[in-house]
Amino acid sequence: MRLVSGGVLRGTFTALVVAMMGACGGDTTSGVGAGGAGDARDGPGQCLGFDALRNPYFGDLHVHTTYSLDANTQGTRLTPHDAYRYARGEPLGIQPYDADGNALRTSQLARPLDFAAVTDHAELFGEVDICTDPELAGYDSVECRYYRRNPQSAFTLFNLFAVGLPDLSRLPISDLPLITRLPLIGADGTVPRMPFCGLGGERCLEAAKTPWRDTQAAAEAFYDRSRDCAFTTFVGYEWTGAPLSNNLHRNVLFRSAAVPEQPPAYQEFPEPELLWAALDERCRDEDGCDFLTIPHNSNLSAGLMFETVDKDGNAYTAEVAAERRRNEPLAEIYQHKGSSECLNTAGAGMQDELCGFEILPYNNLTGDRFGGFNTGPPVPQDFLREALKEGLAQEAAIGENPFRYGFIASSDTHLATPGLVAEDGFPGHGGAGMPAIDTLPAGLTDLVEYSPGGLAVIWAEENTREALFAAMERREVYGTSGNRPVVRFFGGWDLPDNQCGSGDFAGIGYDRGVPMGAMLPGPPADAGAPAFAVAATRDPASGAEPLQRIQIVKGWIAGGEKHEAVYEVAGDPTNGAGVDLQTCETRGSGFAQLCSVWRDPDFDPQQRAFYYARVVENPSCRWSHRQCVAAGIDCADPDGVPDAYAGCCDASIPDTIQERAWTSPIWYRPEPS
Amino acid sequence: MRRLVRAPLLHFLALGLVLLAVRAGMAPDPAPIRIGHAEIAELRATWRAQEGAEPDRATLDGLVRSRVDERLLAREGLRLGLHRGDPVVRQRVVRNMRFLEPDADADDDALYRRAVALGMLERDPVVQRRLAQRVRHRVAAGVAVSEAEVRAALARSGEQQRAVVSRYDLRHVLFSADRRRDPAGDAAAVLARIADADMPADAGDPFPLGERFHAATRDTIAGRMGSAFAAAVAAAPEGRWIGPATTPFGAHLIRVEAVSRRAPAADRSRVVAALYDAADERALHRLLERLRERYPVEVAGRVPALAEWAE
Repeated sequence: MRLVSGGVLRGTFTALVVAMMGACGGDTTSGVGAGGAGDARDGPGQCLGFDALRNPYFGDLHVHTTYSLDANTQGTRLTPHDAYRYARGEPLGIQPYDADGNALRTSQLARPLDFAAVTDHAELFGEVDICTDPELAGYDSVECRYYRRNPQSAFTLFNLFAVGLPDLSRLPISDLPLITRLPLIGADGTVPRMPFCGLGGERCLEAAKTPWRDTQAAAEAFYDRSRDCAFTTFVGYEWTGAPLSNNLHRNVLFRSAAVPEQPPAYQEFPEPELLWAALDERCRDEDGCDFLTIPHNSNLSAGLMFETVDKDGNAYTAEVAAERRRNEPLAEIYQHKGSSECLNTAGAGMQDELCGFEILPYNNLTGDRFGGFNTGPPVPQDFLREALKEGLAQEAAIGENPFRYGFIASSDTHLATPGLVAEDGFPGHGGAGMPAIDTLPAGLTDLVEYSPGGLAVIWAEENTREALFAAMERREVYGTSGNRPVVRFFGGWDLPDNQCGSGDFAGIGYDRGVPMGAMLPGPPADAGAPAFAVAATRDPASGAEPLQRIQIVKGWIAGGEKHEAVYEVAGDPTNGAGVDLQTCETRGSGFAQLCSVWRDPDFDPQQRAFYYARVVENPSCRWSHRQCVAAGIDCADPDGVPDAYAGCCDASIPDTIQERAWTSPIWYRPEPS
Repeated sequence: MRRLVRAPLLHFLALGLVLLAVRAGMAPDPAPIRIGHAEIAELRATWRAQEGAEPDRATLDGLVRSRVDERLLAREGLRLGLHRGDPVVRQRVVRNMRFLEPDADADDDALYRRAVALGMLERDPVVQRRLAQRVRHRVAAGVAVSEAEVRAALARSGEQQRAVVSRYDLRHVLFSADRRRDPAGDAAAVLARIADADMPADAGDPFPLGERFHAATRDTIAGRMGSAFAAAVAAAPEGRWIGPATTPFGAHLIRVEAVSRRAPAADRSRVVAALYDAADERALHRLLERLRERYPVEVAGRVPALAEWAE
């Protein structure tokens, strides 16, 4: 009942977990996983590494394995079990495979992760299982035979059929209200599944339970429930809504092992509000179940992700806005398919040179596949900085802010390799990039505009599901573009100017302020401007560069207008650091650490605002340029450049990047008078 | 009353036996698994090439037995139809056919059908290995290990010796490379001056995010400070200032305040994996027993079921 896993690790834990869940009635702290007598935790605060002032934990919350159709059709055979082994530092064979089923490449993390979540696409769980298991009815259906013969186009077909085309309600013909509720989406408001799924999709929904249980089993097997707290997993999946390829994808993470029997999928719940309603229904507090959803790739949503209209096309009410904020404390600011912070080609981001980081040149998941058909240039409202400003505007207008997002980054790996985010030696991401089924394609290892992706960092007292989940809910998290700088960010009315040299930066921050992700408390009577204390240390790894500078980005609303500003608060933007493009050698000095207490010089107590910090490294070679240099590509001689390396000479792709970290914002809201 | 119950049951069983006997009489004997002289010679040659010596009798016996097992599993795979739609099988036989008939303009489907008709699935070693592998996967997928077994195994492994992990509480003072020309020299001078006295509060430079480590493992410290610093911590005596240790941040004087050493909990995932491996092995063994009953095995020169064969 499961996919062939390349012989590395079988997923045979299903029966175990099912048995355990039966025995415990879904209880989350049933004591399983105890290492030895007296070693199990039975409450918070028992990890050996517990620190009341919190530790930074590094992880990846966006990971696809063989259970995702798009990973599977590109040759990925690794399972959730394999993914967690990899996250903990074990070497793994990765695609492509030779005719004997031996992996042709291996990969290993230089530094293991502290946590990870496998988030396979729930939508085609059952379809993939049926089409790859000869024992299941439907295996011999026309669709499955097509799938096995033509995995590449099957990816497009299955996706269009299941999670794209039918949703004509999103056609950009807003003047024709009739068309928005055509019954194509199904009389009961659902999206039809492939015919071989049977009436109401039952066969596929049933088959979907197997990979879902295996996903839970893997998360259970690798979660360290001893007092060592060495590694944390989350049960999760990806809700894959993308009407007409306009991306609304969200990862759903569960706080504990108590999760719904079936993950609510896009076909049955084709709007974010329907997803949240289904999760509310199936994931109940009294069963120990709790969830949050994390949208990603708003950059590819063609204006949809941060639209302030509900599923019926009406403007957000306070109720819907509050629901969104409650369910979605975080968003992915960067991953494999580009950055969603801010846009450098249109709107306010044009004033901010650092907005040019990993911008994809199109606005939805269609990408370059059909030569520009069904896509266009990226639009400012799809980027988080703009959305945060819109959130302030909504709060002013309807009393609730739907977009109070904290920031994480992750990889979105489709090779089942969480945390594989280094520029150096980037093997591509499979997935929607380059397929590697039985041979390794020559040339760049991925579409040149893609990139390795980043990491999520969580400030928590200890490395447990409860502590990490609570930190995500309060947004005390940040994202990095792959390296591991440590960043603290506090805001407050009473932070001392000497906080950096005090010897107790964090203690003062918590005592006299609030950490990243929080709302500033109301100002004391004689308050001036709020202060923001930010400190960063460089990643000490040899592949990482020193820090160049820290900026604070402010967004606010004044006179009904949205504004933004970027302040240099530490370091030196003109430090002259650079890269020798012939060799990728870096030059120039930077900073091992930076720290600053900054007061907003333009503060107006009447204006809603948010502040986040951006920590920027010295420049280094982008992954693609490293491969171009290694291959000896000379763009001065266009005829000598092999097609597979054409991306090397694409002038729109930078040769260098500045690795960075983005903290979650701190918000200010005027007291209601 | 009892008789009434028993009688139909007996009838039913008798009828079943008759049907079984009839079916057994009608079903053709399955073709035997044959390991001929040539194949045995090949096994010997491979061994010789790999090990540089002739296999002794027990070794050769083992080699033949593994080959028989693989054939049995592959046969079972074929019976279950696992070759259908398997990309490895398909790719292999189509490739074979294109090699055999380089001029054929048949499409993959036709070539595949012809290969099946030619019996290639039964003969090709890669296909055989692949089918055997898939049967092993199926066996593994059907195996379950109970929570009670896991707990018992965890308790057993708790008694075994495990590598001890140390956790450190430490203080350190940074002499910042961002601020000083000779951080290591400055650090060494301070260390020489204080001897075993307390570190003055104003020594060194601020290090807002790095000054405290509590119950941190060497890996955690290495991740934040680099491996040279972590090595210095691991080698440091408790309660004394040592250094300087050099990192990308500068030079550090370090004092390990306390060390706790403890064997970590048994890694549940590894314990569970080992239990599954053992259970798989047992299930595979049971399947092979059944398959040996189902298919006759003929090894060249060997008296059936015993390891005797001509040289």
